[in-house]
Amino acid sequence: MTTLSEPAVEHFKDTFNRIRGAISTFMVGQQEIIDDVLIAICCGGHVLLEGVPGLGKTSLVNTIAQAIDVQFKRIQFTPDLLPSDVVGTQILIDRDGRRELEFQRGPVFCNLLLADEINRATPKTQSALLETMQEKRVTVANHTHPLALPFFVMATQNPIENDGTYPLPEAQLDRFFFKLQVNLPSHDEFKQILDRTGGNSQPHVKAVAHGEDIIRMGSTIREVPIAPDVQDYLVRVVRGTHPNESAPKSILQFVRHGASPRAGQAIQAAARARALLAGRFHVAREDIDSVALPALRHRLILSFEGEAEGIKPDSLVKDAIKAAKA
Amino acid sequence: MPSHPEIEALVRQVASRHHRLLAWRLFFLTLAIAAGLSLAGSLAWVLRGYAVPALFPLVIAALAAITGTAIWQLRKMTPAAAIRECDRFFDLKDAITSARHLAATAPDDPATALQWKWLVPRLAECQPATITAPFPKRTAILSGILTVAAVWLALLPPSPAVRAAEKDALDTQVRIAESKEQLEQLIEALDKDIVGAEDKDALKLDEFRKLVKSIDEHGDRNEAARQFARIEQKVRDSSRALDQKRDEETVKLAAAELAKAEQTEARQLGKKLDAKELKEAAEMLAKLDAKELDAKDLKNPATKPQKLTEAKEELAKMRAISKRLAAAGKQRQGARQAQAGKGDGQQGQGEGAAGEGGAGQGEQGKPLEDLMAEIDEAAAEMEKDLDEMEADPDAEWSNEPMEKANSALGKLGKHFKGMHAKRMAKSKLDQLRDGLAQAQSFSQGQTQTLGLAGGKEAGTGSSWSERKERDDSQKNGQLAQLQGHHGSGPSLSAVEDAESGSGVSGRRGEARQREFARQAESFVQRDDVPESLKLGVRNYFENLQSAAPVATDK
Repeated sequence: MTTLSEPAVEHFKDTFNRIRGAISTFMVGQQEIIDDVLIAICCGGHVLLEGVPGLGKTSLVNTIAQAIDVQFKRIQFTPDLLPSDVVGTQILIDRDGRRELEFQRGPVFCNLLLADEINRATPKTQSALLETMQEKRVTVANHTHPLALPFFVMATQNPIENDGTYPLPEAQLDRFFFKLQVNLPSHDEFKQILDRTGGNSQPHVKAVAHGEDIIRMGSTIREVPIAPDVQDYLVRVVRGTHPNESAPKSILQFVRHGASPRAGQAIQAAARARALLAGRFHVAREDIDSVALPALRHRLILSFEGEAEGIKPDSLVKDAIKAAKA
Repeated sequence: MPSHPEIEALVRQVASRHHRLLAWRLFFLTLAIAAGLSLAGSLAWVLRGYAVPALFPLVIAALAAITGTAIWQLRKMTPAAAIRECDRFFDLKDAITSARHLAATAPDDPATALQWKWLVPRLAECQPATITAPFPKRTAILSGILTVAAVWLALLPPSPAVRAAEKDALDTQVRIAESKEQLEQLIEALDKDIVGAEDKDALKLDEFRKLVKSIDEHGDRNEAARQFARIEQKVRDSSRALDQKRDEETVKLAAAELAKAEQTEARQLGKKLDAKELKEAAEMLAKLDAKELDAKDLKNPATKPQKLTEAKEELAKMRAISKRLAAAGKQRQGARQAQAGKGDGQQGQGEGAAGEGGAGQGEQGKPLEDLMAEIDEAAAEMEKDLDEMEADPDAEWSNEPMEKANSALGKLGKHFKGMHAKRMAKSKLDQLRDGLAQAQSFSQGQTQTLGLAGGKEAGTGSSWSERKERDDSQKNGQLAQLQGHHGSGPSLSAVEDAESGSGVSGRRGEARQREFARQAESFVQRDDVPESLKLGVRNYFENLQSAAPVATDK
C-alpha cells in the first residue's frame, strides 16, 4: 500500500516550483539544467555538471543552496588536495593534560557540497568521496561518521582543459545520478545575464524550502507507480547500452561496458519525478526517454575505437532508446 | 486481468479498427503479388504460343487467399499491442497500461485512485473512429493493373501453330488407339488361323499381344513411332528365328531329284516338295512305311515267295524315293563343302544365314540331308536282307532294317511337318510386321486409312514373288526412295540370285549390300532430312536386310 496522496503530490509540485522560481530570480535560462538538478536533489542523487568555464555552474549550485536553505560547503579541487582535506582528519589535542586524537570534520559534513573542478584532484582524493556519495557517511580511523541528510554533491568539471586533470574513475562516475552538460546561453539569455549582473545590485535568492521538504519530496517520488511494461522498457534501454548480441550495431562497435543497474535505479526515480511534474500519477515511456540521456551518458565506457572516433555517448544512448522501442 | 470496462472496450475497438485497416492493406498487397505472379507465369505459356491452363490462375488465387489470410492472422494486434497503440494514438502516456496494471495489482491503492481520476476525463475524449489510415492508393492501382493484365493473358487463345500441334497430337492419339485396336484384331485373327499347338508355340502371339496392349496412347508422334518400331523389331527378330533357308534349299534339291524319278509316287512327292506342301509330303512319306514281315510266313515255302515279292515292291517304291533324297542330300553336302572352301568371310556369312536359329537341324540335331541319307542306308540294308532271304531259304529274317527305315521316314516326315509349322508361323509374323509398319505410318499421319482387319485373309491370296523385294516403302508411306549414284558403285541392274548355288550372297551381292548400307547411313545422318523420313528409310532398309526368300503360298 502506497501513501501517495494528492496533498503529497501538491507539496512536491509546489515546492519544486518554488525552488525553481527562486533559482530563476538569479539564473537566466538553463531551465532544463535547473529541473534536472532539482530532480536529482529530490531523488537524493549527486550531479556532475560539465561545461566550459563561465557558464554559471558554480553560481547555479550556490543559488540552489540559498534557495533550499541547507548547509552548503565548497571545495576547490586542486592536484595537491588530500583526502583528509575533504573528509576530515584526526588531530592530537591536549585535553586536561591528556593528549587525545579528535576527529576534525572535513567540508563533506554538510547538506550540499560543491566539488568545484573535481577532475583537478588526484584519483586518491577523488576516491575520498566514494563512501560519502554512496553510503552518505565517512569512515576515518575505524570510526564511521554519518552525514546529515539530505546530502548531495554537486561537482563541476571542465571538458576541454585536460592539462593537469585526472579523469574521474568509473566507480565514482557511476555514483553521480546525472551528468548534465551546461551549454552556452542563447542570445536573449546572454543579454539578460548581462543586465542582471552588470549593475550594483546583486539579486538576492530567498530560501523557499528546507532539507525536510527535500526528504519528503523524495518520499513522494518513490510512491509513484510504474507499470511492468514500462519497467520492461526501462530495462531494455539500460541493457541496450551493453555490447551484447541484441544491442544496436553502434553499441557493439563503440561501447566497452554499458550502464549498471544503478543507472536503472536513477532513471526510474527521475522518471517518477518527471511524471509527477507532468501532473501524472504513473510513469510513461516518455519520462524514461527524457531522463535517459543525463542518467546514462557518463556511465558508458567507450571502447578504444569509440574513443578514437570521438563518439559522443549521447548518440549511443539515443541508439539504445531507439532499439528498445523497436 | 480485471480492469475497467471502459478501457477494455476502447482497446477492443482500437484493435478491431486496426484489423480492418490491416486487412485492406493486405488485400491489395496480396492481390498485387498474386496478379504479378500469375502474369509472370502466364507469360511463360503465352510466349511459347500456348494458352494459360485455367488451373494456374486459380491455384495462384487460392494460394494468395490462403497466404493473405495467414499473414493477416499472424499480424493481427495482440492485446498488449492494442493497449500500446491506444496509449500511443491518444497520447495517454502509458496511462492505459498503468491503469490496467494498477487495477490488477493494487485496486485499493490511493495511487490507483489518483491515476484513474487522472485518466477518466482523457479516456472520454478517445474516439477509435479517429484512427485512420491512408487508403493504399498506389498498391490498389498497381494490383488493379496487374489483375487486368493477368486476366487478359489467361484468356488469350493458343497460337495457330500450337492449336495445330494440339490437334495433331489428338489425331495421333486417336490414330494410335485405332492402330492398337486393329493390331489386336489382327493378332486375334492370326491366332484363330493357327490350329496346331506347335504352330502356336512357334508364333508366341501372346507375347506380341502383350506388347501391343502396352502401347501408350499419347500425342507424341516420335514416341509413337518408337513404340511401333520396338515391337516391329521384336517381330522381326522372332521371324528371323524361324528362318529355315538351308532346309528349304535341301527340300528344293530333293524336289528336283524326285522329279527325275520314274516312279509316280516319287514324282508326286517331288511335286509336293516343289510346291512347299510339306505337310502333304510328310503324309506321303508316312504311306511309304514298310510293313513288317511275319517270320512264320517267311518260313512257310508256300507264302514266302509272295510275301517277299510284296515286300520288294514296297521297298522298290521306298528305294526309288530314298535314292533321290540321298542324291539331293549329297548335292547339298557337296555345295556346303564347296561353300566352306570359299573363304572365312563368306563362310561366316553363309553359315550364319543358313544356320539362323538352328532351323537347319533335323530331328535330334541331324541336318535334313543326313536324315535323307539315313533313309537310303536303311532302305539299302533292307533290300540286301530281302535279297539274302530270297537267295538263301535258311536265312533268318530280321525286321531291324525295316524298323530303322520306317523310323528314318518318320523322322523326315516329322521334320517336314516342323518346317511347315515354321513356315506358317513366319508367314504370320511377316503379316504382323507388315501390319505394324502400316500402323506406324498410320499413326504418323502418312496414310489416311488403316485396314489391318478385313480384306484378304491372312496367309492367302498373296501374289508376292519370292524373288521380288517387298515394297514396304509403299506400306509405310515413305514414297521417297533411295536412288543411289548413277555411274558409280555396283550396277543396280545386277540382281543377286539368292537361291542359286550355295544359297548365300556372292561377292557382288555383298558389295551391293555394303553400298546400300553406306548410302542409307549417309542419308539418315543428313541434317536436312526430316526425322520421319529418316525413320521410313531406316525401316525400309532394315526390312530389305531382313527379307529372306519366302516360299510363295499358293
